[in-house]
Amino acid sequence: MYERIITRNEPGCVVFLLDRSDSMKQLWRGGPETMAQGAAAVLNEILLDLVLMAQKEPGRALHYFDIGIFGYGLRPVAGGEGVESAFGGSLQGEALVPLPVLRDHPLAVQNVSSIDPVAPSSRVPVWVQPVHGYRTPMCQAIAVAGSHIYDWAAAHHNSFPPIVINITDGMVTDSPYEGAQLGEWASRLTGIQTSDGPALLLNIFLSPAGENGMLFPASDRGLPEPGPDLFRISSPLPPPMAANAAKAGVYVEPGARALGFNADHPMLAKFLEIGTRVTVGY
Amino acid sequence: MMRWPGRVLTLGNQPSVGWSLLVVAAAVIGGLAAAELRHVPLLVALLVPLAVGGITVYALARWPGQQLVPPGPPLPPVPGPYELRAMSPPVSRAETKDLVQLQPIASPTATDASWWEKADGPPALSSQEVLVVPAPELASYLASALIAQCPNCGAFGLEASRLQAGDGWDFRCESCDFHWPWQPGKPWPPVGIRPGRRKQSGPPAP
Repeated sequence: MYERIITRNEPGCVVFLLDRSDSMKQLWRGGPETMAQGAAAVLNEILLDLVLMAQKEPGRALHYFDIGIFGYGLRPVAGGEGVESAFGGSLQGEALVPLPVLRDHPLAVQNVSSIDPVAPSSRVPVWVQPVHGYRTPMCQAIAVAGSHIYDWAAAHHNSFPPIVINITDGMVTDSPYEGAQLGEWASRLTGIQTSDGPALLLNIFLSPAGENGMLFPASDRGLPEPGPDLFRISSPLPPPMAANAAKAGVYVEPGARALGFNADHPMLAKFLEIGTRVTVGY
Repeated sequence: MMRWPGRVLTLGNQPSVGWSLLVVAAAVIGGLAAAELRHVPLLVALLVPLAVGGITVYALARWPGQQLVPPGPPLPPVPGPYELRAMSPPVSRAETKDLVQLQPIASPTATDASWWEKADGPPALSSQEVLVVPAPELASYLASALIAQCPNCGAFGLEASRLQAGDGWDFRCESCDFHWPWQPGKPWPPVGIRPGRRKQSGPPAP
């Protein structure tokens, strides 16, 4: 399991579930940005990393991944609370987008000043905008994303299994949803599989304050709420990601789950890097 | 930048009596002033502005959706659907929120509410289904395409066989019998176009 190399004929699938509830408006660890802004920034960075990884020649990205981003909480397009695609601009409403299409359709290109005052600013694409409002319908997010992931897995039976990364800062507020608790929804999602194994569900919990961030715990002992629930619904960390974690200097115990808890900005970035680095062929 | 609804003064289907009188009075005053300047009869100076004013009030009543937005402080945004649109780029990440313009639209994402009730995971493909999967378009091969020519003479007619060790290939030129190894991912050896080295004369085999 989880040994398949991602190629253009057998691409991978990475889906982000992005919490856009009202609590994401809190400042992140007392810094200048809210958690919504920080999460969107890290997400844009990891999308750019994926695009650059797939750019084997200048000006062209190859189709190594299909990417989905579903926001839950405030729906900026449809209005009110719920779940919708977080893509904007010409990709608005799209569920899964091939990486070359993503590369060519950013929402905006942003000038980012360098830390070095002498160095010129760089231009980076933006695909996701920070918004927040309403509660945290995490079950509905899994239900909506799951339908698209199911279809994708049916069409890519020999690919590396879909990777679903849930970025949240709060307690689920819609459990039970359509008669099923959060754990049941997670089981349904990870019941989707390709010939290389079940879909992977990774969870990372952002914390506006505090310390004791934890990456890939092997037990839920000592985790405050909603840590134990998130631990239970997180997939066991597969060998490729455990290897990525080791390369990144993160010690992984046997039985580790794909969970990050009380994350700050650097931890979220490291978590997403570890969760999206999959062996890519040509 | 966010679109803020301003204070709206409506001249819609039901114009107020005050507005109507104001329009008619303005027309009459204008007519009297014109009569004074151009020496037209007083009756004409009264009747023409009255007619023009009346027609104007009638037209305003029939013209739906006319709005006047006088200057004033903006009101809070109305909750509802928005579209994210790119604006001029800011200079720092902290200004990301200033990138967008929010405009009303509606396009919710629908849920296929029964995917989890299907079998455990997507159905496995049968061997027949695997066989009929269409090949990728030719254009998708361009990034990795390699035009194989003999490095020794430039001919295209080549034979290839697996190397005993490793994952490389052994090539032999059908025209000059030149042999060379090659591994996928490695650069192709430099090609020299030397027809004189071929055993057979004529152009290289296609």
